[in-house]
Amino acid sequence: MTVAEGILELAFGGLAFVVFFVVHLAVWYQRGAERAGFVLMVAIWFLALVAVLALATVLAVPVHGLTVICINGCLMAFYMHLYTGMLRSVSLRLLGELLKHDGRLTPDALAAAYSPESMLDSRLAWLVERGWLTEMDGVYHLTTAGRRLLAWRRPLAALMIQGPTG
Amino acid sequence: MIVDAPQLWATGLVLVTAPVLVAVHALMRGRRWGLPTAAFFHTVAWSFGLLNINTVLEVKTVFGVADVLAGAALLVAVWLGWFQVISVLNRGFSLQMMLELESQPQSRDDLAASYAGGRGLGWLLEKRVRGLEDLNLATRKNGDLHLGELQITESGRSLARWAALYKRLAGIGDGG
Repeated sequence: MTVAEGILELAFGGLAFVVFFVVHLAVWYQRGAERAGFVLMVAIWFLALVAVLALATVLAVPVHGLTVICINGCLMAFYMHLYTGMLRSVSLRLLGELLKHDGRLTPDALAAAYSPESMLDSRLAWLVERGWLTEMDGVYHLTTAGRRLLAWRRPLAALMIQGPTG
Repeated sequence: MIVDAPQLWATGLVLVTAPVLVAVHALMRGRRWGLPTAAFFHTVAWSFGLLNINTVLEVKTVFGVADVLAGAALLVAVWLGWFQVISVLNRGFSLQMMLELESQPQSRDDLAASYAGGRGLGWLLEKRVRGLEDLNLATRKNGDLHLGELQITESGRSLARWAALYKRLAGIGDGG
């Protein structure tokens, strides 16, 4: 095993990511991020990886499958961090609003463009859609699925959280 | 396509030594260099495992470039995954809303007021703006968000342009 062969594995791991990225962007551009969803993203990732590993097998390229999978997994972990930030980050949204308003926002303009209430409404709608909250007569309740999710959080938060969150 | 024992050992050791990452990070929670320090000790533990596995387990394994590469890539993936989990725990807006509702069901307006233990949504916005200032992506004329004008910096403008392009291509809309 030489360094050159290591580069070949990096190339195949990278190729699987590029295939995923191109297909994912094409589908997301057509359908919109809200309609596309996480399951479809995982499916595209899996198919891209299988396709590239199959290509390596057909071309008889002696790549180590697990190395290609790990390199691709590393790129995907980085990308998922970026993607969720783009999708949900309040800070990036604030920067976006600043860009739209010639780089300056007064408190009133900020409240009009991206008010805390609008942030709350979009999250509440998303949480209801996911089945973690229900709404009855304008009051929001945590569902059993929501409580189960919070139960997972508790031990990690006890270990890792210091100070206020949110 | 090849899958062999050294690769399984190299990647398996990443997972076996992952508690080092969590333990060191827990010990250093709230400190600025907590995660990089934890990642460093995770790497030390993993490297120590690779160098001594033949002696300790008598498996007679010779690690090649591909095996070390697989382990290193998984190592970074584990850090990124862990960082994502910690980010959601610390800054998850939706998760925080669920926590508020766990104690008692609330209306939208009550939730806005009680958010983050009664700090309210203004606190969340203030925290995010402070984060932008710390990263030199935006500045404020006045110290108080409710009084001062928010201005984007050059690096903030550059990041916002890239983000806007990506969001348009990925059909994300405004995001946030």
